[in-house]
Amino acid sequence: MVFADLPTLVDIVFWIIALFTVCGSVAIISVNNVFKSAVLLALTMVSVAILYFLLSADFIGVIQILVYVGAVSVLIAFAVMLVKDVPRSNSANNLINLSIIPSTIFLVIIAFAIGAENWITKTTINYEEPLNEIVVSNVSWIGELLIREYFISFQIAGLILLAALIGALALLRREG
Amino acid sequence: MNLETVLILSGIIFTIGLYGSLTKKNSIVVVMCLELMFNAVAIAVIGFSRFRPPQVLVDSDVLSPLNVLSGHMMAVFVIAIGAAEVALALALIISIYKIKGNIELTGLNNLKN
Repeated sequence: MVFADLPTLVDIVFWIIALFTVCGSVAIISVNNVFKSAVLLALTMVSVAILYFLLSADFIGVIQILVYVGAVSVLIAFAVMLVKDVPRSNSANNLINLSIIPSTIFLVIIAFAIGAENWITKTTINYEEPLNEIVVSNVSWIGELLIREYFISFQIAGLILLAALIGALALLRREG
Repeated sequence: MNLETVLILSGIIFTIGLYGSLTKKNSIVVVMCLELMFNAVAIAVIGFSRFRPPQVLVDSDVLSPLNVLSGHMMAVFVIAIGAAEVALALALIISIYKIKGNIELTGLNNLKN
């Protein structure tokens, strides 16, 4: 095939979304306005959700949009009210040059670890029909796994959410 | 799109979040960078779940949803913990604002002297 090594449509969309995600992440920490960076956080979360759709994790993508774009970004935009000087509020502390060193070391270690491992991917084994079925539609399987194999973890996650709710209320309780 | 590119993308986003949370003065931006780091980890586990079967699947061709979807379960719990974390962090920011009058993290050195 002549066209065998051309990138497919999924590859092109993946590279565009990956570029968009990285540029959005850089813009969050480089714009001067905190409100703009809250809006950019919502946009970056939408592009991460599109990445999940591309990686055939449809339920996780929907949950990402619901939780991060719907709840977390709104909470953060609500907290921007506490900032005094919004247009120049995203300033850096005096570690701005020193922090490049651990970040670069971390990225280099991660890149070497990824490059050194010989990854066995699913393309090396034969695809069977049940696997495709699971990978394509996974909402019902996730529900079944949550209440069977991961039941204890599910309950503990609920307990953690309850503890966070009670902790937030206890922190903000008016004294006396 | 293969496993290495997804993992490198996840590492880049994690590094950006790490750099932002180390250098920012405003505590809201630090919370945003923590959310970026949570999302990088979730991208990594979804990538593993999409491209790399567990060793059980390679050895015996057992195709159960427990093998294929364990990364999705990890991502669900990561998102739940991230939501709980941001609720608590914003409550902490509001209580810091009540005490100090601003939310800059560089002013929080009461234990220093």
